[in-house]
Amino acid sequence: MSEAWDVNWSEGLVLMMGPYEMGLTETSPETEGYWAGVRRGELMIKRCQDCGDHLYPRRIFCPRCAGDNLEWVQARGRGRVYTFSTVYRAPDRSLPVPYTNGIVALEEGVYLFGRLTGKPDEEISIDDPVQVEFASVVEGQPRLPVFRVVAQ
Amino acid sequence: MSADESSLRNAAAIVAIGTHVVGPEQERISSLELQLQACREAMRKAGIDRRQVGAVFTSRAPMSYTAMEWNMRIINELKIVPRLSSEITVHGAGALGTWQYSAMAVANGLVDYALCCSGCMGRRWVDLVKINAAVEADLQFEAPYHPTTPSLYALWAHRYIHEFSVPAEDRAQIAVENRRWAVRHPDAAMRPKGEITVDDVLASPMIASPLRLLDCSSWYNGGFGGAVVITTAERAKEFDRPVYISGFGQCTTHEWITDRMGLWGIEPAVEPNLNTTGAKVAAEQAYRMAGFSPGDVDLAETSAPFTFLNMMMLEDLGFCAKGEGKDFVRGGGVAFDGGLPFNTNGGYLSFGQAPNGMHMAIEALQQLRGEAPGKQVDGARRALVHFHGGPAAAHSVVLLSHEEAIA
Repeated sequence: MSEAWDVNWSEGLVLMMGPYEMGLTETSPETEGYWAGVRRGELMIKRCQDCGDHLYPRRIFCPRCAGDNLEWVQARGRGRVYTFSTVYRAPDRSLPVPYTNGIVALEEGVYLFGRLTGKPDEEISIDDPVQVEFASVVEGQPRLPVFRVVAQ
Repeated sequence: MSADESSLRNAAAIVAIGTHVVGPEQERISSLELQLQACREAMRKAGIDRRQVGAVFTSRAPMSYTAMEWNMRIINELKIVPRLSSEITVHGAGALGTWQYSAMAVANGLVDYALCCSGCMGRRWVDLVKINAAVEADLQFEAPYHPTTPSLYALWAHRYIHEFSVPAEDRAQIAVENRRWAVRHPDAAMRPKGEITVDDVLASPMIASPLRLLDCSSWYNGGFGGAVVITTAERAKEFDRPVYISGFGQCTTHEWITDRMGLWGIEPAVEPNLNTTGAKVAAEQAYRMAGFSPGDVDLAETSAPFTFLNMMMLEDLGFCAKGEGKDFVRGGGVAFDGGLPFNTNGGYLSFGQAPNGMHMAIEALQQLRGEAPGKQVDGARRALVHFHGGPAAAHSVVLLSHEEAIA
């Protein structure tokens, strides 16, 4: 399954039904700015130009004020571990374990999912400060945002 | 929150049950046949002809039998011509949602009889561990980091344990109690393995921290198809041991867990959190509709596939206050001997997880009818059934009553 993630998501993934193309699992030009940022090594989130709220990169309009004047802005990339889990049994037995994924609360108020690094897995804890960087989570695959635990 | 939700109280009843169980040692059949056999039995027991079925509600297409129009696949085989039909697709909560839509349909006079079905032979056809991780995770923003299903639920677990200081021993106790029920049920996956101790749970290998092997359910290595026929309370009097739908509720908060943290300003997420689920909202509506309270419930069946989530459900379903699940369990709240009969077939943890959970709903009906295949709860009159799906994303609650409890 892992090779499927090397994809330009703005073009979506084709779902096959037997030999026929049934459609795209995701047709999402609205997230293209995020993946363009990943390729540049910049963590991009959305911001509502009407009320100023920072938003999850998927948002198409602002749930707070219902405005649809959203723009891409670069996040500072700093936050704290909100929660996490260390995986000891991977879905694909070829993946090396353990590895830790978590939800990070960014300083801008947006929560993102990602790989947690920079500390032995068993020492990672809630509220650890993190800084984004870009790295492959599986050798040879494109870089993704990962969150490195840093000193207070 | 409508003023007249109590008008649906006991307005509909389940008058026939059909089940089709394929055990781990039996030859596999298709998930389509599994559901159809259950439907056939339910209709036969109800003594109704296909022409009398006005509504058909199914859950989403089984993961082992992809079809764009699952409901139509079912009616096409049964040669039913429903005037109201749909797949109820709030993830795993949809399978129980079928009963809710049926109750609304018959209570409002739209149809005389509604047929509901769900069931899946999943693990015998496909790798549910891999598929389910893809279903539960956001393909763009979570899946590239290779989360597993347990590791996504574990994100709830770590917050819950962090905020309420929940000891591993108290969580493990739930697995121990579930197993006691399972060893008495003929179809439970873990029956041959016998009873377990708290130490067994704590010594089992870590799967996704903080969840160990015995904190997790396993996919049922067979299939459980379940179907029911639902009609009005008035018509139900003509049937043997009808079970009344006293109240119900549903609540869905998100699709993927990271986006749950982007929700605010409405229960159960007035502030962004991972400590309270939509089950709380669904249960509150169900109790209001039913006109009784958690203390009146004789048994409860949940769809929680992890020990910690069972504890959270005991809170969200009203059996104890938020954060007090650990004290409730430690005090024998769900003890096999003397506690609330909880997951009386062994639950997801020890019966196994048979998608989309009909084994739990059917168990409640069988208990209320006095025909439990495993240990019968004496004098069971009222039951709570909880289904959910996604990483604790969508929840359905139904409160059921024996006819002696509705007078």
